[in-house]
Amino acid sequence: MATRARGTGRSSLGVPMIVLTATAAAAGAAVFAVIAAAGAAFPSVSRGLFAAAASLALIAAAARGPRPWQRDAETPTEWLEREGLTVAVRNGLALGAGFLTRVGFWIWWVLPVLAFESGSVQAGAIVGAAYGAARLGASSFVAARAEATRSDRLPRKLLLWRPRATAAADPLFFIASGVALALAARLVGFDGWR
Amino acid sequence: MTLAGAASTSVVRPRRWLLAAVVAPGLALASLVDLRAAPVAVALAVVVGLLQQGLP
Repeated sequence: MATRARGTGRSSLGVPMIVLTATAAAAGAAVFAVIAAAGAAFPSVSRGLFAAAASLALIAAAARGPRPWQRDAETPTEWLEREGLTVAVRNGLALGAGFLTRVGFWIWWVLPVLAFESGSVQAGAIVGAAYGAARLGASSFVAARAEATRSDRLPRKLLLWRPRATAAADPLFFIASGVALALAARLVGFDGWR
Repeated sequence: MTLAGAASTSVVRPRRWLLAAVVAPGLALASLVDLRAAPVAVALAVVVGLLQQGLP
């Protein structure tokens, strides 16, 4: 993707990668800020009730099967036929927003719940920016390193780790859902288990 | 359904439901430690972003 974004005239991957990561962070920040703003619009009791209902629905759905709710879409092929920074901007926006393409794991859905619970637009924007930057920044770094060292050792090493990371995603989802549920209970005013 | 099919569904479903019990440590963690939604969400956002590497 970054290679296509570089176009024909540029030699460095640096600019498209920075654009890709920055647009992903901006898209994530915008999406999660809106979700957090929606949370802020409710008093804490109703916010907690909404978040608890969402967490329970997620837990029930994830307990039924490993395939998460998602828009089953890949990057449109016509985007990949273009070259230049437009590719980086479009992909950055789509992937940074998260839900516009495949989310892959149930654990993604805990992020909007937590952003909603925070009830802070600023916190939501930071969450989204962290998500977008981590998602695209990491792959950009790996691609840049592979090109700089002219070696695919790092991408290969990461591929070997992928099955373990995938296996950890579901237990982590349930733990994170437990955290979201406890935070929702606290918003409602339930503090009985201390 | 074949015998093998029946056996596989009876094995997979309970396992998935058992996995959901992992909610409990999360509940306990957030209840005993004074966790806040925003820092947890930021840490989780980085983990999720890294997990999604390579998704088409």
